[in-house]
Amino acid sequence: MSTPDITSFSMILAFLLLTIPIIVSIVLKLGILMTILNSVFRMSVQLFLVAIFLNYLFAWNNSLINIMWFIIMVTFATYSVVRESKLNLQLFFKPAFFAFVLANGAILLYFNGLVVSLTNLFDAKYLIAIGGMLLGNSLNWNIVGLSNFYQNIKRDENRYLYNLSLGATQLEGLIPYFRNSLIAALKPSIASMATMGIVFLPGLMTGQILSGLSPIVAIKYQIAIMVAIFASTTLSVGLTILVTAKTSFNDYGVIKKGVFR
Amino acid sequence: MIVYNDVSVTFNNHYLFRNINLKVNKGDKVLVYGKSGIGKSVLFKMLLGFILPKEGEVYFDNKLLNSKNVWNVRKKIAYVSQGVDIGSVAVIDLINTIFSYKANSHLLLASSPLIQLLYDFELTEETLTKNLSDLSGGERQRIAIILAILLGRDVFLLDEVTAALDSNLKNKVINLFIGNPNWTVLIISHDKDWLENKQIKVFNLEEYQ
Repeated sequence: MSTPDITSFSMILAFLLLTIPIIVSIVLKLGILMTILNSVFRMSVQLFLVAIFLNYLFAWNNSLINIMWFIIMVTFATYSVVRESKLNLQLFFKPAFFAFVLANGAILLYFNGLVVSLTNLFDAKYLIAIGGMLLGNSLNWNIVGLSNFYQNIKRDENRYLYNLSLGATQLEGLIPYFRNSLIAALKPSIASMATMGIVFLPGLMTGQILSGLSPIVAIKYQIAIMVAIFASTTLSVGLTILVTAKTSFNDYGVIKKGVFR
Repeated sequence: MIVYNDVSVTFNNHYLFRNINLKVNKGDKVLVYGKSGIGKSVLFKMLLGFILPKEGEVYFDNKLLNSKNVWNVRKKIAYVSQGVDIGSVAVIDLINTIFSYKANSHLLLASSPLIQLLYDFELTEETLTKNLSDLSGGERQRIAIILAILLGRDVFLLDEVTAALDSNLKNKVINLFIGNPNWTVLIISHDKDWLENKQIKVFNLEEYQ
């Protein structure tokens, strides 16, 4: 059993579905028509380009190129996390990048080497597909965690300083905020794991079933990848906050002025 | 023991005040005077290293305040901030957190005068289980004062600590802090009751604008 191709005509039929959000946004004057069109356009162009690119990447399957592509993905993910968290790019990019490579790289190698038992750890299909899933998912939760941490410290600055005045070390003062931001970042994953399979069939599993794999194998992959995503989120949120905190507070323990964009 | 030497502070490139010279000796009770927005709280925050002077130096115990020793200086000062934004957890949880800090590990909650202090300030033990954000301004102020006393330190920075208290409690607080000759106390307050006390020295910040 193989997945039938979608013809150009069928693609047009798929795009026709867009008339629904377009009509709704015109009739209700949502003011987001151009944003919708722009986003759909970008998605289509980007994905087509990536498809062409991935075709080559899978054909070459050169470990070094694969690793480089993974690094590029991490670069974009880092940029996006720092920007969306409304933090200063100059101050945050390097430490966040470091934390991201370490957290996602470690989980990725563990997954590919021990869970899937690949002979080539850097096989394009796995490194890029699984790496992309780890990064893409932990990216959102990193934005939640990182912005939660810094926004809360900014909002409660007096409270935080009060604790320093009571004799708290930098670490003692930051731990409650660290805790809160980890909880905020992990909660959505915890909730989605609990409803998985009943409320929705996740993308990886759907893809594998469509391509003819048995549902039993597909769910095993799905469970493994969910756990891996959860672990990489925990690791990357934790590491990112710890590493960035080193540079975003001055020696007096006070948050630097230029932390926010 | 506390010296501000030719201290100037800027805010958005404007001078908040210039060339402040203030010397506080051990046991002194000093009221910082000046209209709202003049930067009275900044004076306290400088001593704690939360704000750095643009020019001049701040000394504590004859040592120039820097990023290394400020962490130790903080352990010697009990600070009650204006607005007492001290948390949104149960009072007892905050107390436990404070006592869990390494800097306070020599303190023992069990043998502390916590309960006695609660009654002294017309609160009850039930207050301990209440969330700080459910307390009234005056109750929070009293909790913050009690916490400051429990720390067992002898330098106090009190920023508008009597604003939400009735006159009976106000006098209690004033007498408590003024009455102890070992305590060095810096006060920011608009309450006239402090001024009426003979031991109070007044430092007028308006002269340094």
